[in-house]
Parts: sequence; C-alpha cells; structure tokens
Amino acid sequence: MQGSVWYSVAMNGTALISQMRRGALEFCVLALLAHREHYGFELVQRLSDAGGLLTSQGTIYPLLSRLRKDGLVTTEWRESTSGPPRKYYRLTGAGRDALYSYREQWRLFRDAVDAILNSIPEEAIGERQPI
Amino acid sequence: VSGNRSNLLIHDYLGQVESELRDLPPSQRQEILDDLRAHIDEARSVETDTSSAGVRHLLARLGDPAELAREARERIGVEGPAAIERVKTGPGGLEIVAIILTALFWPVGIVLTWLSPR
Repeated sequence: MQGSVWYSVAMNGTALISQMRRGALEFCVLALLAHREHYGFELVQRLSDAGGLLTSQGTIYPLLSRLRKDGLVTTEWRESTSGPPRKYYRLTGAGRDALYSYREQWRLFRDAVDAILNSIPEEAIGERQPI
Repeated sequence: VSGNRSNLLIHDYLGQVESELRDLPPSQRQEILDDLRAHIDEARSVETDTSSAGVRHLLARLGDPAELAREARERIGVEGPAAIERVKTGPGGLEIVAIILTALFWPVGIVLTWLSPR
C-alpha cells in the first residue's frame, strides 16, 4: 500500500515530506514537459536546480517509465550532435489533462493548509519540545 | 588506466541495479538500465572531472541501487517477488467457494420471498 493517508499521519515530519515530494515530483515533470520536450538528463538538471525535489537522481527513471506506461508522455530516441543518443520525453493530451487537474487540486490543497497554519499565532504553538 | 577503472565502476553499478531489479518485468528492467546508461554517458560527456573519483561521485548522485529498485517497485506497482506470483495464480480458493455458494443459495432467497405471506 503506497501513500496511504492514515499511514502518513503516523509518520514523522521527514518521512511525510519525502512522500509529498514523491507525489509532487510526478507533476513537476509533467509541468516541465508542458513547456517543451526534454531528455532525461536535462530533466534531472532542471529538478536538481529547483532544490530538494530530487534527492537521488536515478529515481526519476522509474517515474518516467511509469508516466510512459500510463500514456502521459511519449518517448523518442534521437541522435545528438554533441554527445550520446538522447531519449526525449514529450507530454501527451492525457498528460496535459493530468497536469491541469493536479494544478487545480494543488492550489486548493496548498491554500487550505496555509489558511489553517497561518491562522495559528506563533505563541499558540508554544515552545519547541527538547528531543 | 583511469578510463578502465571508471568503466569497471559503471559496470558494477549497473550490475547491482540489474540484480536489485530482478523481480521487475524484463522490458521495464531493461528500460531503466538503458535510461541510466544514457544518463551516465551524457553526464560523462559534459563532466570536466573525468577521473574515477568523478565517476564515483556521479554514481553516488544517481543513488543507491537498492533505493532505485524500491522506487521502481513502488512506481511500477510490483511489491516484491511475491506480487508477481499472486498475479499469475488467478482466482484463489475463496473466490471459487464464494461463486459456488452464491449460485447455490440465491434461489433459496427467491423461494422464501415467494412463499412469504407479505
């Protein structure tokens, strides 16, 4: 069972963030591809530049394989003039739909969480407990 | 010499990934290995540090083969060697018993409804 909400609640903060990062990564990849096609290494660089989105670079490839299998992206190997052959990823219509709906859901989710977190004054949370 | 050592490091790394991915369907295992190989080749073509230390660093950034395999299993939906077996075996005993019992006993309900005074 992956990503169960009940399990997430019981997890500590670090594990929760890592699950959220995993979920968001998928849509960050779709968003980058909505702009233009990318090859794998390029995607890794863009995501690493964004900071904290990709902790182990290789984990992007199982994700890309899954996206291709689900029909959200298509792939094409092409020769490169400057280096080895590259596998390019391009967003499909279904990928665009998935991105569109995620963006909407994400904004609702982010605003809801922010509204609660920001409504609590700093003093109400109190002192941080020593570990 | 450094080139040979680098190639050996890469060969070992991909070998470890392949072994960790052994419970994945062969086509998907091959796809991930090809993608990693292309990534490594691309990185080496842009990297200024061509020493074996540079390659070691590159592989470290790609990540631990076991972690990669865990991610692949979760993303691709294989929970481990047992999951493949479960899919292959088809309906289990419970399902078959349930179907037989349903077929045998639903007419009883209908007959009782028919005979019931209200």
